[in-house]
Amino acid sequence: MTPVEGAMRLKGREIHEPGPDRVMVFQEFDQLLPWKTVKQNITFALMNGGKCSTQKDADELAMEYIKKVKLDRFEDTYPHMLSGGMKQRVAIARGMAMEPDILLMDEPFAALDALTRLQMQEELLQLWEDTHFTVLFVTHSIEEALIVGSRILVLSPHPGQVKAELNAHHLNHSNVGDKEFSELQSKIHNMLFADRILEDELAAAEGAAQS
Amino acid sequence: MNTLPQTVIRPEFEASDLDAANHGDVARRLTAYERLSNMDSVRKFSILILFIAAWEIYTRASGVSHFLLPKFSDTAVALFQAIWSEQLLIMVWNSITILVTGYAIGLAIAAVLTTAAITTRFGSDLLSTLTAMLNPLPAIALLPLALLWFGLGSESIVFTLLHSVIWPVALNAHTGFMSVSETQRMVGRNYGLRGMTYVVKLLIPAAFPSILMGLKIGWAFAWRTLIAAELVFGGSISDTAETQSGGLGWFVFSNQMDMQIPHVFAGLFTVILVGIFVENVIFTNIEIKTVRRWGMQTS
Repeated sequence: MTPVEGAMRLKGREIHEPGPDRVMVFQEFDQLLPWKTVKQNITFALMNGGKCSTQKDADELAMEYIKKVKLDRFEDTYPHMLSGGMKQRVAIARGMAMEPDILLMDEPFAALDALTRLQMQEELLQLWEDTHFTVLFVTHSIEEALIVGSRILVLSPHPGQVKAELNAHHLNHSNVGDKEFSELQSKIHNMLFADRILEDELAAAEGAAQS
Repeated sequence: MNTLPQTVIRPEFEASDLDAANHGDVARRLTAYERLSNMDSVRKFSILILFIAAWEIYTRASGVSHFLLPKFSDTAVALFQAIWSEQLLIMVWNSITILVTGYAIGLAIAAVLTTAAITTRFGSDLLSTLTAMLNPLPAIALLPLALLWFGLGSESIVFTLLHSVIWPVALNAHTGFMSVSETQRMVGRNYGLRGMTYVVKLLIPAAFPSILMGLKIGWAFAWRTLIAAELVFGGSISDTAETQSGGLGWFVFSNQMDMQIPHVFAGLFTVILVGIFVENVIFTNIEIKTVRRWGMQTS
């Protein structure tokens, strides 16, 4: 995978292929390996990703992160017996246990119900408080971006380009509904929908011209 | 005139005291009959008993010739006789040895074909063409050719067994590998799996439900083909030195020649029993320990 132009670098090293220094958390629930228990899913990643060299180290580290995502008691459960939220938590624990240079999260909460989603955002922020790791978090929810993110990059559709970079480090759940929060929210909303409105108007004008 | 139904406004309330103790029965123990009839084996075994009873009653009451349909009791006696004094178990063992040989070689060839199919496009084309061509061909139809090429002997039977094992196993394994979800593939690569470790640690377990299905179908085909081969050509094959006492199919065939009909039934029974054992004991246990435990296959 080579970029058409420029280069991708992580800590100065150029990136050419997937590797365990950048861990991905996916949106799909089947990202856990169904033939491994919760703990084995994490130790599997630790052992193969070169994070731990002995099974004992891997077990200890895995248990530490399982406790962090509040899944102790479920470490020997197979993924198919967990709820969607619990599966995502395991995936996040697996990603974090790797202690990667950057954690890539592709809409990790998109498939969760509203209540679980709120709870997971809260937990992610709490985990972040503990370790201050770097996360690249993709979401379609403006509110989620404001709550979870500290720097927000707004992308435009087709082709994806960075339209704006905004700061939201001071916002979290307690700010929802505040004046500042809603202002930023509507600002991003307008950015995202400005193009669409323009396109709609253009299409309408064309339609009128043709008829 | 169109009138909309009125919205009924009901008084609000909040339960102040939710007490589980007031709910009464939450779980109730099943009765002995319910528990017994919920057991799969009990239900199926009772059907078997009914069937045997019907068989015994019919043969006794109708006086049908025992050359056409022997009594169940006679068949059972013949089965024990065959086991004690006519080396039936050795014949079963002979059949199974040939079967396992053919099965093992078949699996090895299927593994090579599947590997070729998932790594190269030519391999994939080769597998799909060969499967489309050879899968509809009953393995037993190859036996005359095999006898011509390999002569009378177990090699010929092993050759036909290969044919019945390779295609279902390779086809199912290939389908299994192809349908491993993209997310799981990406997870594997993300954690640094490459080459053979990627195949062994990720692709094979992820495709295991399909692989196991292929193994089961391959086994069932092979067992049927083996018995058929021994039935049709068992006489000539068992004359050779290495398979002196012949296999299970030969037992059925030779007893039919001697008009030992209860023995024929006993032989067929044994074929069924071995089939049930492998399918319901060996494969089911593998399933319970793997795909069912992992939730990759229900029921």
